[in-house]
Amino acid sequence: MMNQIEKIKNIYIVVPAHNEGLVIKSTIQSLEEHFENIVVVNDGSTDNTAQEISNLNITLINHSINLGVGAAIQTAFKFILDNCEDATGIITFDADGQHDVKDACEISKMLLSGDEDIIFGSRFLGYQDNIPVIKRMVLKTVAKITSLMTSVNLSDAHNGLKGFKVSAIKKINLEINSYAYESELIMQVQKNNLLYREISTNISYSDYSKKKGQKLSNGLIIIEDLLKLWR
Amino acid sequence: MVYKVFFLIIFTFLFVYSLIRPFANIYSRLFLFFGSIAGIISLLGSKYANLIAGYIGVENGSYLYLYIGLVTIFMFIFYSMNKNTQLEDSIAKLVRELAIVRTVHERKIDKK
Repeated sequence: MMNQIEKIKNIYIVVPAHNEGLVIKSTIQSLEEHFENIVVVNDGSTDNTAQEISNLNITLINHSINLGVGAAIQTAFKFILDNCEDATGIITFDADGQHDVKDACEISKMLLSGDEDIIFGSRFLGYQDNIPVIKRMVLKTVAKITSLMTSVNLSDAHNGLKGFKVSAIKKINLEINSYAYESELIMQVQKNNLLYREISTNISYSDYSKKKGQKLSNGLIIIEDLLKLWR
Repeated sequence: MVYKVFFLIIFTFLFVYSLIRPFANIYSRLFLFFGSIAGIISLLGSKYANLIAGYIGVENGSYLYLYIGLVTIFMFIFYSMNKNTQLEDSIAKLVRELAIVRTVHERKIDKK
């Protein structure tokens, strides 16, 4: 007889996806082994992303047009807050399969038992060798600037793997639709005096995720958006 | 001469139009109002433009029009970008609301 793992029910997984048809199914299937509730926001994909996962036991939210990862996260947060009364926490997880499900499980444990409002995953606390050199430099620079501007000290400001308590999400008001929502989130952490913690999370860059991931030049746009937020 | 009369008619029409048309914001009215006056003055002859330029303290009429043109361009770009951002935000809000409503509706159907 197969040894069945009891799935985590009160922690919802949010997966923003844009044209991830090649990998989305395997990413969701690996998450399904551990988590009962998965919300995928298909952010205006023009490939077969939605069809690939339509038969899985998940909640699929479809944006009619591509708005950006920030908007996808906001949609999922609003949906869960308004419609999922059993949710105590939310974990955001990238669709391209670069995160480790074990890390998501670890974050869920912390959300259920710890005092922290937000758990940030960090690629720089043990797994930085997996990050390409130039990307590492850009990420560190962005993290440094973010720390200087917000006084929230994070080693990795733009990691897609994060955990939030629902009570914390209610205090956060995100407005940015693009990648820079992460900077806005950090500003909100500072503004609302939320308790946070960073944990080491693994990252595996495949050729696919390298191709799909953020362009390094986006670092400049993130800094630009940070300056806009810093009033 | 024919062209001069033609443009004079157009600018005069725009001037009157700026006074009687209801505008959603005052800036559009002012833009049309001062723009049409500037157009009429430029058609009346360079001496009038030079006279106004001298009164304001600008070297001559050509420079005055150049400065006004530049200010107008920058103001228009700023206004357009601002409007564009507002529209993008509104569209994003609509798309997000629609996506949630559709998902909730589908879930209700599935439960039935």
